Amino acid sequence: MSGEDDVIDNLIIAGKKVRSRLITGSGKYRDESIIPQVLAAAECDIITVALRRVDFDNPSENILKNIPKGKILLPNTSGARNADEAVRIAHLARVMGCGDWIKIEVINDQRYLLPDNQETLKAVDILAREGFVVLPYMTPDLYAARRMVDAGAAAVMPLGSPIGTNRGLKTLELIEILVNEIKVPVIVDAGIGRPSHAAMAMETGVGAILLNTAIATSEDPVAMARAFKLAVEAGRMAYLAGMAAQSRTARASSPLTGFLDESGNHLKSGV
Amino acid sequence: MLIKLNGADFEAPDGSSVSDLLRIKGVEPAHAVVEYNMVILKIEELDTIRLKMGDVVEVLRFVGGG
Repeated sequence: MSGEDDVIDNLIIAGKKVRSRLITGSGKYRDESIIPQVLAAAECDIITVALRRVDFDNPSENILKNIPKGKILLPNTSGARNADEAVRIAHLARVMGCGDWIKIEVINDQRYLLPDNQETLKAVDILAREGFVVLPYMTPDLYAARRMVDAGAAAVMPLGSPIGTNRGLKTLELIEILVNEIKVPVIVDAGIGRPSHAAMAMETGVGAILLNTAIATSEDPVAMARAFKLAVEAGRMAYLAGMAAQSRTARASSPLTGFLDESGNHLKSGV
Repeated sequence: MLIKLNGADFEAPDGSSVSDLLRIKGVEPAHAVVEYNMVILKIEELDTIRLKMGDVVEVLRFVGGG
C-alpha cells in the first residue's frame, strides 16, 4: 500500500460504506453554532442527536440546522429506562424523516450511566426486525455482544469508561475480546477523553470511535475535533500496518557489528 | 379545554387542531414530531385531529446528544 488514500479503508455498517471512523455527538456545546466547523474539522460522516420535548420558551431551537446535509444522523434513545421506552423513542425519531439508524441506549443507573445490556438486547431484537439499523451502546460482555449480533445489531458499541468521564479505555481488554470474536464493527462509545485514547483503541482493531464530551467541552472544540480525526486515522493505519512485537529486553535498532573497535568489547563491558 | 401538553396542563382553544396547537406554541411542524395519546402522528394528520379535553400531547424534536 502507498499513499494515504490507499491506507485508510472504509468502515462498513449494515452494508453502507462510511469513510470516517470518527463518530461525533452533538451535545454539550456551549455554542451550537460551531457544530458545522467541528464536523468539518472531524470530517465525520455520522453524528448523534437526542430526542427531547420541545422547549416552548425557545420553540424554534433546531439542532438539525447545524448539521450539514449528507451526514448520517444517528438518534439515540437516551432517556429510555427499558426496552419499551427505547422502542418508543426510536419510532418517534424515525418519523422525523432522518433515516432509520438508531443508537440504543437504555440506562437505569444515574450515577454511572451504565447501559442495561438485557433491556438493550430486547430493544435491538424488536427494532432490527422492524428494519432499523441498530447500534447498541453496551457494557463489553462477549455473550451479550453475540446476542446483540444474533438479534440483528449492525455494530456493537461498548463503553471505554462511563459517559462523560473522559477516563479512557478502562475496559480495553474486554473490548479486545469483542474485536477478536464479533463479526460486526466494534465501536468504542463513551469515555474516550483524549486523542491518545482514541488512537490506542483504533490500534486494537476497533471499527470506529464515538465521542462527544471530549470535543464539545474542550477549550477549542474545532481544533480538538481535528486532533481526534488524526488520532483515529493514525490508530487505524497502525492497526492495518501490523504492530511490531514488544519485548521485555532491549533490541538494538542500530547494527551490532562494524564498530570502529571491531572487537565490540565496549558493548560487553557496558561502556 | 384542558389538555396535557409535554407533561403540563394547557388550556387549548375549543375546536383547535394539533396544527393550531403547534402554531400557538410557535413550533414548526417539520422540525417536530407529535405523539397524540401515545400514537405518533404523521405530518398530514396534524390538521385533521381536533383536540378534546384530557388529550395527552407530546411535542418532541431533536436536540444535541451523544
